[in-house]
Amino acid sequence: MTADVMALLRTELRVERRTGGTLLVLAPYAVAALALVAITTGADLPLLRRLSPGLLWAVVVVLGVLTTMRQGYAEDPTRRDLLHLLGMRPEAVWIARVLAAATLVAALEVVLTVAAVVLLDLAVGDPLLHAAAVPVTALGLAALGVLARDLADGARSGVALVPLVVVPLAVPLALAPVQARAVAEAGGSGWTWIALAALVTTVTVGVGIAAAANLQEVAS
Amino acid sequence: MTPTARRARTGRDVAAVCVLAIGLVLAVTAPPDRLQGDLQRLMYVHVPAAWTGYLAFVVTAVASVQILRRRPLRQWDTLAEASATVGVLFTALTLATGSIWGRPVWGVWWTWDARLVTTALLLLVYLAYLALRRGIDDPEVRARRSAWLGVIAVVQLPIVHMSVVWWRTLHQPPTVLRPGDPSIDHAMLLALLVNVLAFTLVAWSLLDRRRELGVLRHDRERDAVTIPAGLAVTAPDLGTIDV
Repeated sequence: MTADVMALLRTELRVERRTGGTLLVLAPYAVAALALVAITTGADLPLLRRLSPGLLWAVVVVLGVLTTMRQGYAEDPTRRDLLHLLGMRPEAVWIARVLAAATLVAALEVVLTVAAVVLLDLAVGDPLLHAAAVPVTALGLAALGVLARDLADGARSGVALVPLVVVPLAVPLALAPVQARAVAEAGGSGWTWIALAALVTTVTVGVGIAAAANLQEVAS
Repeated sequence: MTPTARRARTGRDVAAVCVLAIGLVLAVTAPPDRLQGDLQRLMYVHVPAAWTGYLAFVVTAVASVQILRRRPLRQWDTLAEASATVGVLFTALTLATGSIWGRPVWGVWWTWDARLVTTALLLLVYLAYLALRRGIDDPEVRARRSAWLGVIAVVQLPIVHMSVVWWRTLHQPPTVLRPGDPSIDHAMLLALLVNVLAFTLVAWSLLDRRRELGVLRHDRERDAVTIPAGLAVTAPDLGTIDV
């Protein structure tokens, strides 16, 4: 199964590299969104500095959802059927899709962090905490997004339903890094908050893996 | 519906109205709060509405698990949908009464309090659940997909309930569902519990009716699938042609 996951992940990322849908389109859009927030807030640097951690992670969640809504290689129903006929387990396909989306969300988070440091004078705080928050939240957002996409697949409202499902459930993922940083700044341990984000991510990935075969069955 | 079932439903409706009337009397006659005075009487609507919303979402989750265990769709899917609808109604009522209560007590209609925000998010997720259901025509696909969301969404309930303990909030901590003796006057507690029972009975009646609608829709969808095309298409009546 690991070989299948890695093969499909490589394909997904190769397609992404060729099309550049996320890093060439969504990342500049995310930076523009962050800049827009700064301008509409009144370009008050001390205020922006105070708001920057929250703004960064709010934009990560909103744009992260868009990233998971992209048309990947295995999103196409025909290709998914083909993978099924080739003997690839639905769980392997699901994990590969999530890992591909998580890689892109993590890249987006790195770009947005740099943008927030430059535009909003964000103080990252403990770099270890931030470095841990990036993959955990990226994986959680990707798992939620891919799961929501599978649920909304073929629905009349289409992928427009995905943000409505993901954003309320992703609140712990946006809250955890901000609170972790605040607690660490106050002299406490922010790792409890990262552990909360990791718990949400683990539960979502677990539910997604459990649902993968069932959802593929009803989709075909 | 069989005559026995109809009688049972009528009996439950009458019981709901009677208990609701008793609850109203107790809510009006219970002693006022030492600090908030009569304003606090909103609690007798706000708390039962919240409790009923929670209960309805738990029922949705239980029915969703049954659907995923491949139990009969007609029975469990209609129950999941009906209870989610009732849950959304009562959660919206909770937010509305909370907002009305918050205005004189906190000075604002809405504040960024953990309990308020998590309850609003809970409502949004179940609105998404209902939107998902409306967007899928195939009953089997609709049931299975919404069941997964029903199972995921219920995880929010303990977060909403414990939010007042985990975060510093304006909202008061639990007074009844807490370890030890409830921190509320016993006359007020009685009025509250009677109203909780009344709201539960009202929700049951609403759920029953909503479920009946769901069953009718389910049967219509099943018939639409099973009617052969030859019966659905009939030759037009051209009448007699005079030559």
